[in-house]
Amino acid sequence: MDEKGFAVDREMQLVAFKVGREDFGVDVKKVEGVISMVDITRMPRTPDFVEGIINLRGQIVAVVDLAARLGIEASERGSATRIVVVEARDVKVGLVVESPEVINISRDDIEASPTIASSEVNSSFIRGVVKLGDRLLILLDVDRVLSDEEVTGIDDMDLAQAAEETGVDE
Amino acid sequence: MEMDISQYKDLFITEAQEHLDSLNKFLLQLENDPSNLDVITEIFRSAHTLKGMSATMGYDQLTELAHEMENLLEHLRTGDIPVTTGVVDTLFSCFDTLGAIINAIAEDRPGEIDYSGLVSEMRTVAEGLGLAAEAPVEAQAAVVVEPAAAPEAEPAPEPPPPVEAPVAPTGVPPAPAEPAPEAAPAAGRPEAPDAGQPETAVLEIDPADLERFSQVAGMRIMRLTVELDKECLLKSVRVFMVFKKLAQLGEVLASLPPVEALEDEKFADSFQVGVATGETPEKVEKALLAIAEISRVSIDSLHEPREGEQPAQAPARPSGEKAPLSIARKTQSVRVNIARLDTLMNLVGELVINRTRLAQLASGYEIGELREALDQTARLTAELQDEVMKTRMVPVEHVFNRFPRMVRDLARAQDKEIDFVMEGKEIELDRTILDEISDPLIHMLRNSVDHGIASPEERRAEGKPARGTIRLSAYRDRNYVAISVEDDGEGISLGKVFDSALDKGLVSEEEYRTLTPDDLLRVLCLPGFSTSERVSGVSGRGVGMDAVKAKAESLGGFLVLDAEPGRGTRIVLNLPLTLAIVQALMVEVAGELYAVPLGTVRETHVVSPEDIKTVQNNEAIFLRDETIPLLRLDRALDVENPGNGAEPFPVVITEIGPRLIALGVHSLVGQQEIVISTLDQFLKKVEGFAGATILGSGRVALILDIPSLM
Repeated sequence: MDEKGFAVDREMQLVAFKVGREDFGVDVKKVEGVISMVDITRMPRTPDFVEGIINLRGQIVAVVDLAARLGIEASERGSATRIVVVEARDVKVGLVVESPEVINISRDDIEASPTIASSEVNSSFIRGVVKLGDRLLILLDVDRVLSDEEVTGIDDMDLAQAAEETGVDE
Repeated sequence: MEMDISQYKDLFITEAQEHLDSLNKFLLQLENDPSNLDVITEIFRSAHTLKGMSATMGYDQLTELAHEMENLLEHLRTGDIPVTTGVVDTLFSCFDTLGAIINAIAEDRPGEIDYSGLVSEMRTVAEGLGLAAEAPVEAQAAVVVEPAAAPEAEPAPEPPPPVEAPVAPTGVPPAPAEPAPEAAPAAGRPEAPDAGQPETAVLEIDPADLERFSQVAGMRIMRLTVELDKECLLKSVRVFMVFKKLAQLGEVLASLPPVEALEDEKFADSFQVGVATGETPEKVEKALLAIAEISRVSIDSLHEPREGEQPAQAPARPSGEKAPLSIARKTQSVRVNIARLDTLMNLVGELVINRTRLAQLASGYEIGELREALDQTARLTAELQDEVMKTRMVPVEHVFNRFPRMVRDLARAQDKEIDFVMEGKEIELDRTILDEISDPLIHMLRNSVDHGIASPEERRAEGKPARGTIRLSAYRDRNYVAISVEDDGEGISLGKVFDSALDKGLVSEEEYRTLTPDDLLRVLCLPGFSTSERVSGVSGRGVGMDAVKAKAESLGGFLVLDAEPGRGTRIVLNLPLTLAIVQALMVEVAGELYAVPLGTVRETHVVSPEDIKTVQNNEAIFLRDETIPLLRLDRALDVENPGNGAEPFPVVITEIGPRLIALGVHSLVGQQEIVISTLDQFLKKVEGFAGATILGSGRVALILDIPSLM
């Protein structure tokens, strides 16, 4: 590998996975690991996309339903469902996805324009798209997907939601 | 394992700060008792040591300032100039500047502090200029200078204490021309008997060690006598370097005097160390001499590595009444980075979780031996946990110590007369908690000085003694450590506080009419209340109280307020002993487990729907003669309720300060020890939870934070 010199820099590894019918990728450097689906403890008072919390080797980590977060249709959970643990802004968060795998791409394959994606995914979450044969893979910006505003937003959303629902409740 | 100058820097900073603490402490004492020459001597001693340490480390600014300070102190000591409030103020500001320079060094930005003004001020004071008119501090008037000079307190014309350089308190043999750097002998710590160990005492090695190491091929056992330069000032640093070097070369077996005494610098110029090493005496000697300020190393060989041969000089039998031996590794006291302790605590936490899991697994099998082994493991884990917790406990004194000075300065700035009393300084708290409570306590004390204690004139007019008292006490109260700040001042007027809250729009008209004395603390802690200007002497009382309350709650504690108009105010900060592991009551709501910290649980009950009454639109239950608000967790957490609401359900009666709250749950699971894990950034802001814990099954359960649930 070393002999290839600068060519190494052009290569990049992605963790690619499916959510619903779409393909996504995350820079492998952002990924802490992939684990199988575990029992998730519900976390009340959080937005819908926060599925709950899990014990990741002694650490408490939040799990986000990526489909809900991205606002796209989710697929059935099954034997291919995994939790990809990413680190976004120093915080570990688990993302529920389908069939993750590690793939190699060249940086040259990344196309910047998100308009190519015929996706309903919020364009600010997209770093670019990668064409792999007939597949079109959306490169996610996890920092944005789990951005500070979202992190702090949990609080406000929750309060608004809680206020609404306690009003309705009984 | 490389030698790192920053290691000595850290040690230097810690020691320098200790000296500053004792300087502050002694100066306050001196102000109370200006004729006490012993106290002046202590101050002088600390200042001198600080100067020497700084010079050794090459911190010129510190050295220069400490030198100026020493000059001024010398005048005090000889009685050339009297102990006046002005002099005391100058010295205090000098301490502050020294502190600032030390901090700057700690943060690697030395040279940023300008102290030229201070130096000239000290010189002016030292020359006795501008002092003529100032009255000496009157004995007992710690905080406020009485206007009239007391004649008998004229410049203490006592002759200076004995020798030129101050003499170490006791026992240290002739040698040291420098002061013993032990800063606080007055703190009542008796000198270790070893301090005065005659030069002739010889270190003996535990025969068991001798035997063990002499059986190792190529191992030598030697007794080193290490002599330090007479001018050496940071002796403990040198000792540390010697031990570190020896640990690299072999194993340290024992020392004379024992390590604690060495660390406290309770020895003259030399000490002895027993070492087992594979190196030659020459190499050991050379390695030690490479350390600065080691003047001589002599080596006695106790065992040479020749097959089958007995040690040349078999050590004398141990049981002698001679100097007690200590094995360095076992008795050494070390400073440990708090991060290490945190890691250790986390590991113990994991162990506790695994133990619980094992016990659960084993409960499915009826194997007596397994159960026995598990019981044993449980006991050991509990002990381990206990020990680790203890290592994290620090006396509150560490935080309290700076308050006398603060209260003095505040009182002086406002021309108030205050006696400040501290109690329970020895009470211990987890280090993590202790680090957090300094600011809340400062707020509380400030409030007492600013708004609690009135001016001497006002107090006299009310028929109270002119001097007010503020009492800061720490004590154990069940599962909590309580820290109370109590003053005999104005108290708090309910009416004024509630009116002020209404004026500021913090409470609605409707709410205002329903306020009771129980609401006082809540109103004081309303965020907007704290920023209020002082409309009257009372309404500004809430300075920072919202912050105090928030801090208390974030640490799992709570506040209690007790105020009587005209009689005084008492605020108690209740804190858990430790954060990491607590007993909890596990409850189930909609299929999920939640932990309720047992410290807050008073009792549990089962209530039927007909036991529930509605009071002002809120549900409550009646228990004995009390009306207890009911908080149904399924509704509070917004999760479904599987039942139809008609069956009886269990409630957990919790006690948050003076308030009782009944938590309605779906079922009670049991009591269990839990390890608290904090929630990360992503989840921290969700109200209602104090953290989470990992159960024996590996599943996660949330820990309820009852105040923020409501």
